[in-house]
Amino acid sequence: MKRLLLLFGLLLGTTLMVHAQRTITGVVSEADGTPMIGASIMVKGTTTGTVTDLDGSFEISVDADAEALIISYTGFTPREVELGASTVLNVVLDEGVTLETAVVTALGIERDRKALTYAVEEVGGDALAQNRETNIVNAIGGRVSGVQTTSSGGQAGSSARIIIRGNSSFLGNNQPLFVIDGVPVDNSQIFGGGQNSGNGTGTGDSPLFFGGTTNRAVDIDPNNIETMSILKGAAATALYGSRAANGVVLITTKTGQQGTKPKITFSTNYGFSEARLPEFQTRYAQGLNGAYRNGNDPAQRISTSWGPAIDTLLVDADGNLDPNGSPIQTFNNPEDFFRQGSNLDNSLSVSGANATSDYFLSYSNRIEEGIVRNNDMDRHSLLAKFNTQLSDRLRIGAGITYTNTDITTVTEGNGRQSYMWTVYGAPITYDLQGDNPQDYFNEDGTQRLYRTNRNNPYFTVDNNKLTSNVNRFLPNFSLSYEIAEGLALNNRFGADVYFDRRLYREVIGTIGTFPTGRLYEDNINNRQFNNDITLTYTKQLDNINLDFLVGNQINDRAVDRIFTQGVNLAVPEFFDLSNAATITTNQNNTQRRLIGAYASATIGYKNFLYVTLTGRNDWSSTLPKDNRSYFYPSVSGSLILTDAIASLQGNKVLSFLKVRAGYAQVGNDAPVYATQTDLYTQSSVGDGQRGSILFPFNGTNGFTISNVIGNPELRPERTEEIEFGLEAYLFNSRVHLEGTYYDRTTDDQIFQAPVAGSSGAVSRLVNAGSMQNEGVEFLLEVTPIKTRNFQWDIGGTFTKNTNRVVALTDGVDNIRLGGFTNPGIYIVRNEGYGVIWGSQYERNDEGQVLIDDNPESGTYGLPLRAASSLGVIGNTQPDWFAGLRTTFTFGNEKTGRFTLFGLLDIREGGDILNLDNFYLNFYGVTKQTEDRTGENSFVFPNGVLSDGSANNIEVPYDEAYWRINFGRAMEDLVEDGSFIRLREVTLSYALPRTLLQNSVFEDISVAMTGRNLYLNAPNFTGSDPESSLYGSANGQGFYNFITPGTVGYNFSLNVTF
Amino acid sequence: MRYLSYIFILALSVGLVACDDYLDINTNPNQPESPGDLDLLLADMTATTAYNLVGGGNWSRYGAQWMQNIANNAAPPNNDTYRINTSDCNNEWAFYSYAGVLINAKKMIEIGEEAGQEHHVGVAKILMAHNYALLADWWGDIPFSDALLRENNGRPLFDQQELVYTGIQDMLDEGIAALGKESPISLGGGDLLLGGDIAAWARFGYALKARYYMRLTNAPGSDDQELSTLALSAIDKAMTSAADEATFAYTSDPGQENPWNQWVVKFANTIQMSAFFIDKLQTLNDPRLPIMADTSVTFGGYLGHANGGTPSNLLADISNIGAYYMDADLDIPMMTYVEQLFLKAEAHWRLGQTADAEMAYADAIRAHMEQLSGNGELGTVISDTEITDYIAANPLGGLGDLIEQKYIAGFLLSAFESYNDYRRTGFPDDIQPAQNADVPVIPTRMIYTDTEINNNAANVPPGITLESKVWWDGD
Repeated sequence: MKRLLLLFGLLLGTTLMVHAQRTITGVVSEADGTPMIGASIMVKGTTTGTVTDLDGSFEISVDADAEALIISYTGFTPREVELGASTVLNVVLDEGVTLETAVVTALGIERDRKALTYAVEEVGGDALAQNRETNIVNAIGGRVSGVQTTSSGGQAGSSARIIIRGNSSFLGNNQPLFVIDGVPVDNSQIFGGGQNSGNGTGTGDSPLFFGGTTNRAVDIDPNNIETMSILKGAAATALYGSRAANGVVLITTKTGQQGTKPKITFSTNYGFSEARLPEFQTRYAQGLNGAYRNGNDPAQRISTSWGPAIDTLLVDADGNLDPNGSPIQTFNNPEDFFRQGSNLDNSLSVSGANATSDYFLSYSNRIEEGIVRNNDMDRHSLLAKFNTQLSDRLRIGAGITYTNTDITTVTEGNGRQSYMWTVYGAPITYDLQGDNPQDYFNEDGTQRLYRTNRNNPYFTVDNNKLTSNVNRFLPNFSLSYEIAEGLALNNRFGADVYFDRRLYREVIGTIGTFPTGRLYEDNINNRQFNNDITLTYTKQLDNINLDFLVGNQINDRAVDRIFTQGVNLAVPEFFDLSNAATITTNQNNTQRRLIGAYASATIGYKNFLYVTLTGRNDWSSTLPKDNRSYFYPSVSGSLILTDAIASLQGNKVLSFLKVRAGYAQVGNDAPVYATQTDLYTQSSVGDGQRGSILFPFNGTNGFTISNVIGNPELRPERTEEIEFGLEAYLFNSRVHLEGTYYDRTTDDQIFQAPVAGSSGAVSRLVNAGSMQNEGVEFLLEVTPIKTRNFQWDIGGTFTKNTNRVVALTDGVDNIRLGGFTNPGIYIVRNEGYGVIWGSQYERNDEGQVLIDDNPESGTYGLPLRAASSLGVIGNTQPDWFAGLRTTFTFGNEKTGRFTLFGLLDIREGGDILNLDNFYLNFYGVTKQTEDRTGENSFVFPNGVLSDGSANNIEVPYDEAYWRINFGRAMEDLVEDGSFIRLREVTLSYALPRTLLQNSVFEDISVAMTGRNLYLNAPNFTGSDPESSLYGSANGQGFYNFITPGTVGYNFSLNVTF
Repeated sequence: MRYLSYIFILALSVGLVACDDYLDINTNPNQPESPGDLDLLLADMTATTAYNLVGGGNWSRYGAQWMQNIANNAAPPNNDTYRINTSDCNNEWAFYSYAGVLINAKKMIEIGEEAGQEHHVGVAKILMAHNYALLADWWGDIPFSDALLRENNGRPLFDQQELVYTGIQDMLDEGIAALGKESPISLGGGDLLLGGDIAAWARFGYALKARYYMRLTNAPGSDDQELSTLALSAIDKAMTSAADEATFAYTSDPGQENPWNQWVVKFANTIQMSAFFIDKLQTLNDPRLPIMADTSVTFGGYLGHANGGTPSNLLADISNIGAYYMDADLDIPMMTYVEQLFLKAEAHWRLGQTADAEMAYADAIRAHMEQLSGNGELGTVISDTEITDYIAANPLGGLGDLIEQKYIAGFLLSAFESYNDYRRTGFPDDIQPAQNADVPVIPTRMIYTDTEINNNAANVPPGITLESKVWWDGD
């Protein structure tokens, strides 16, 4: 306590110091004398800075002892100008290499791009805000090499997954660590319904039947982001330790810049979106075997649309067959069902700085209405940041972000509560919507629907929903003290605390497991506290630059979840637990701690050779006591050939060429509470869907031994990665190329390996297996044309990753990640991560399909079904993916500036399990089932008859094929998810500054953005191959009754005062 | 410089928190390492047995479909037409049995023996034997002597069904013996089947013994005379009336209804009466028909759906299962007293004790009819005369009559036993495989499931199909 008081005393004392200040003015211009608007002026060694105004002039107040100013402008070589006695400084910048730009690396340390020994890519905050995605992860899509993002569906507030350099953990988290302003933050997806497992296999509602929830990166407001650095490899992330084994997304929020007055920015955006629907058949009525059924008559209900062609169908007013009636009316049910979604995003910020302090305050709000009614999202975000130089040596900063995110979602997935069954499945001759918005009841109070056993979707979305309200606080406090020249002590404390209060309601009368209603209240309290203290030392010798760092991290994470469910409601539409006849409560509390000690040394020789060594030791609470300490090193280096080799120096074409290599190890700890062997847990007897005996049952409690066996001998996991890279600038930096080859292997993985059920358990925690990801990633940036009034930039990323599951564990060849046992998404030894597994057709050794050639058989001409073997029927991992972006900029300060930006996202390969077709083809509603008259036929490809000859049997496309034979083996449902997507097009116009010169405005710009305007997925019959029922969780590629993807249009206005 | 040293001290003191206590927090706060009161395990075991092994689960559902008590009035293919995937019975194998009732029973036996809680040990052994019999009846050879070793053996060896059956009888004997011992703590509220009645548990154990003796009448090398004698001696100590039945009391609370109600009424909806069953009852002029089935809404009379046939135009065309069976509150016995009476009749019949057999046969039919009487549509009452007439019209002329009557009485609630009897005796012999079926016969067993094939491939017997036979099914 005494120490603490002293520290406070110290802080107070320093605030009282007074700084001598002076003001520097000047003009920044290009070589030809053109003034440069918006060039950045920074006081060296501080974060104090300003930008030049319209005539290129600036004014900045600096401490008396400030040494130099650093002047920079995109596309120009930055200059460092010593401050002499003069207070006027005119600077000329040359167009050229921008290698001296600082890049944010691990622990927020800024390094010259040139000195990097590993791959880092940056995305500017403008780009992230521009495409108006709600979820920051989607905003990265297609922009960074080595990074794959996948959205999960079209609901407002839905989740998105980000994977860097492939999946390296079997069942653990595969997504990168998110770090905001130096503080690690949570990006987990906590499933609904009390589901307590990351892959949806724990107790509680399975995402298979209820759909995913959102990932918590959704709380991050893109408006506040200055820059985002993606640290991809283990060498780049080594200092972050275990949790960064899958890469790091480093987010730096905006900071106040020095100027003559506070800078106020206001941006507003309105957008709307439409569902991207698959095609449906439009020719046949509800019915079976060609006979018509009138779904309006409760006695005639049926799920199928195998009725007669509508063009011959005459019905009476009630919809019953009537030869003297009128032609039957048809409806476009899916199109009617989805509404136009909208979003309104407003953001206001005030920022500024003087020589010693800077601040940034912002408030933003995003209101979004999804394409499904009652699905909406409302996010409020407040950010306040303040940094000040308390003395010559001491700088402190503090910041807090508060976010309130309220998302209401409707139930998706394979459960009967899911609304999608009857949206896609409705016959065209049935009016799903009815005459008024709530026309989903019959007179007797039952649901009005064309079939039994499913809900009217309007009823479902109006009455059943999950609301998640998150209050999230991200405070941080930092202090840096310069002990001596080059020696600094830094401490950064941060926390990420959020409360997620979820309310779910399912009204009485819902067809499903709980016909008499259900509600739950799910309170999740997630806390993370993190402190990093580092000591850095920088020394410049003659030819050698030295950077040393030692540090300590303490990280404490806890989740307290209490889930209370009430079923059997008495009073309709009264959603309070007191209204439930049976109440069950489930607690799920976890806490884990990690202590890390780390050090790094970077040695630079003559600014062309750099070597970085790092080492880190972690102590984790989740490992057994004897194995809880583990150490892992990394080494990486880079050589700038254009500086090192005399003959390459000053080359006109190749201005910069760097090669780099790195090797790193990363250790990783275990999931929490994985070391106890026999644990008992409260019983819940049932099959998870139809019903269950809830305990306490009539006052009697029940416990069962856990199906998962812990392991008291776990050791840390090990990841090893090597990386080779190359970076080049050509033609005066008009061309920038960066390429990396990596090879990462994770061994000794800790995961729940399935065991034979007959051993009395379902899985056991093991240390085993090996998974490799090998790949290349390229980034190319070209500026083919650059004139005063026109610039054309092209950027491209290309990634090819090959995943190999080298070993699982003894006797285990596959592990399920998601979906059903058959079909599902699995890890399969020698086949890879995320393969589709399910029933398949009988094949001979050559891989040819054995065809049933018995003319009496109902499956004549179709493959024989393999007796009882499930196998690999697809692979969800893409062969490669690429992003191609281009920017055209027209105009200048006098005309204003038009910018046209386009981003094309390409994915080759990557199968989807389209389980929708299992049902929809059976129902006869998909477009392909329109071909049903038997006139057309096909020969099953690659088939062989029993006499060994090639299959030549024509199988007609008829009702029997689609309804009975299609989907006999799940391999019928695998579709290639390759796509080309115009992810974003933005046209923006910045008003001429000359026009604004005498107004209160500094900048005004307007923009129009289109998202996903074009999607070509030629082999996929669903809405959008970028969908996943499991949200951002590991079971990707499982497509079943997911809200369709959207096409979005946005209009925005940005004003700076 | 002095300030500096304070900062260092602060930094160090933060760093040095790295002591072990700080990290010793890896104990799960939500799951205990001991089950505490054995009644907690007992509640889980009795509820799982009732809900997943007997009342619900695929043993009963497939049993009732394949024995054509009921039919799925929906477009085939489905499990009515024997479309069975290796994943379909994972729950039955792993979650309900081995990693469910069986492992909890094993833990209860271990802990109970240590604590001298013999009554818990006894019940655990009876439930374990019952569950092993379900597994063996469906899958033939199963892990038994090598099973349930958890972390000590993740890939158990399979035992032959014959050996499992020997083990089941031993286990029942041990269970009954343990129930007869002194126990400082007896069963408490966790007994959701027999309310802690030790004597009733022993009688249930004997009834199961009789069932499993008679199961082997057609097994290779078996002596049905000896088995019948053993069964009769067990029946002497078994249930004395339907009041002795181990039953689970379902309620009308959502999720806690009779599993047939959950599956047929709340979930599947297209499950209706099978044509075979309706036709059989109509042929026999059986007074139970109005209780077992509702009339067709469309046509008025009783009409079943032919298993695997083209779905009827309207669900309303086909008879639904009778309200008595669909009642959410229906209490479902683990083994009916009626079944025990039929077992008794069969044993006497096989031993040539015709008069005893006829008496037990008549008792069985009477007991069942009396049980149903007053429960049907419009409170259908089966009068004493009707019962007597029915028995007179359907005398015990042979094993076929006996098994057919057992089949009728076993409607829905003992359908898996009907399926076992069918395999064992071939009766009812007029049942035909479903139309549009994937295999040309009524499946003679279940295929092994994914959880075992995937993780214990070396030991799972190869080449098993739905047409393979289990050991006791003769050749």
